[in-house]
Amino acid sequence: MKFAGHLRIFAFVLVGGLLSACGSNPPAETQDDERGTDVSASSSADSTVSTTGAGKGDVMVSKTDGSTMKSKSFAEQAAASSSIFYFEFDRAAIRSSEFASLKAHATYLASNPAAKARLEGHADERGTREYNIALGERRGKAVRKFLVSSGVKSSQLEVISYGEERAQNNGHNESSWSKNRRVEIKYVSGRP
Amino acid sequence: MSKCRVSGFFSMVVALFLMSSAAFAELEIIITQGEDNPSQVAVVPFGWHQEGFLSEDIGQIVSDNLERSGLFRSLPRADMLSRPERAGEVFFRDWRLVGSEYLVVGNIRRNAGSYSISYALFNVSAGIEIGVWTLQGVQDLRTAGHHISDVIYEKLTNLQGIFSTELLYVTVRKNGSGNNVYRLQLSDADGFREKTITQSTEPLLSPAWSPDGKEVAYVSFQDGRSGIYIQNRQTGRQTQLTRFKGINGAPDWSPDGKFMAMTLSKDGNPEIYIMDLATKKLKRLTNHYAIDTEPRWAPDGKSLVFTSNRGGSPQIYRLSLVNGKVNRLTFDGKYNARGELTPDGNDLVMVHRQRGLFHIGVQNLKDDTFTTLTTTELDESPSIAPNGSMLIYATSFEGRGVLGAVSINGKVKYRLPAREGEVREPVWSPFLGRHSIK
Repeated sequence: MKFAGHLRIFAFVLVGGLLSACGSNPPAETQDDERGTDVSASSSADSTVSTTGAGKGDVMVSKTDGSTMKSKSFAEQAAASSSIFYFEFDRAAIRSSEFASLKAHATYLASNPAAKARLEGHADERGTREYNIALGERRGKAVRKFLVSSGVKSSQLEVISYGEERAQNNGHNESSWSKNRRVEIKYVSGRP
Repeated sequence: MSKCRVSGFFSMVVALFLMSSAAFAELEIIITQGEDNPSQVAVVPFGWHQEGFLSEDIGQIVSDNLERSGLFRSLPRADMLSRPERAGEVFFRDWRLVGSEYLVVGNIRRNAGSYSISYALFNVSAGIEIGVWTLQGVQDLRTAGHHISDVIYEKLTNLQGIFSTELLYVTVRKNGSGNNVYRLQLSDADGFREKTITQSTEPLLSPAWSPDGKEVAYVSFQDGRSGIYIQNRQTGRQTQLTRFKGINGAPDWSPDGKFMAMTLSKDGNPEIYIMDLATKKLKRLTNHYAIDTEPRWAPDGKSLVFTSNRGGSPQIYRLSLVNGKVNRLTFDGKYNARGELTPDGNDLVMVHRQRGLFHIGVQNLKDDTFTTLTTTELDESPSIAPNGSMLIYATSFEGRGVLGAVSINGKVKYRLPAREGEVREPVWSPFLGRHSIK
């Protein structure tokens, strides 16, 4: 059990490190995932966040059109942002291109503590159903971690994973699968 | 016969579904591949000389069952030179001429509200009677047909037959308003007599059998979140076993029926737990930041296999319940999941990814040889028959989810296509002890 003990310490250090980085870094799942060696996903790893050198959250926001964003209310910004976030196969790392939309939801939720949202995680049909339930939860938790690190209370959020059970697109090819590997933010109360 | 003793409202529901499924069987078996040299068996239509027509053709049921094992092929009735109904009427010459190695004859009589079925099995080339049997007090001819198939199969192969077993699976269809309707279905091993156990417009998945076949467990999202449920087959009564925060998944009964292994993420990560079903006390078995899921008991109850991505990709590990040690079992490829051990514990069946396609694979744990059993894609959810001869799995055919079966040596394959909607996650029942046909 010495080995397991070391792993626990390692996990603790890993999470602790992330927390101290507070909101600027991608979620812990990213770190787990990058240890993975899956060939199919590594080819597209450049479109996901890397473990090191991710920019600050505010830099990401400025990637979108900041001037128009500022003139809108937080609710308008959240409502205008995508509420679906897509992932790579067998990965739970948030794509940097999604940071701005996520940040808009985070800002809205943080300034409306009565608002509550379900983070529904999904996977594509490949692989086994229960593994995909676990994968969908990791994706949901990655989004939750991002939102919480941006000031949202975790009590405002609930992660529910449906795995591959609720495909958005019923095709059996990569273009369909890429639409199904997702997290949907669904407001339960206080919709923007 | 226990199967018919359903009472009250549930029996009404069952009756309705039986009516609808009689007119429209969900499954139809297509044999896609057999053994290289199956033995020819002639099953003569069972004699019936009393008034009225019988609801079932027992000879056909036996013949179809034997053929589906892949070990036998049936002599077409049109090629039969005679139609004996009892031992004294058999002329071996008639069967040697058409190349039959084995012969089954039988006859059915009705007296005082039940049937009596006599049947005999012959080795044609040796010219001897292998056995003769009589079933008394038969109420259900189809059940009797499966029983007779089991007896003949066991005599010819020395392996207990699986024709009286059942399948549990999930079907998905769109309703009138375009929403998915998930149904947990039960059928005979040949796909007939389909019944609905439960249905929901929320996902249903991960069905499992209790070791005595009297209860089933599954995961349902019926109240908006996942929960593990147990349902009694006879009463239809559903009870919720777990409703923790996060994942409630992958239920699997211990071989002694006392514990349920499951995946819960209530403590942060998906971890393997076992619950004492009498006290509902939980014991956590894994503690790792990676995904741990899909626990399956070894047949001896002394270990569990489970899927974990702790090594960077999903692989199958074994956790000893004796000393708590975890060993990685699979190394072939980057995706091996949902492991299940054969009844003798010698082979591990799993979902295996090869060149981007998902197949069913089997690894011999003695010499670690790995065999890919299927060539279709998107294959998942392998479930081993209780005699270890075949496994059933979910696959995709012409863009739809269907069930496929393959022998453990990969030589025999058949497909059970859905005529409507999708069929997924088949689970083969244990032996159901239905050898009493009364």
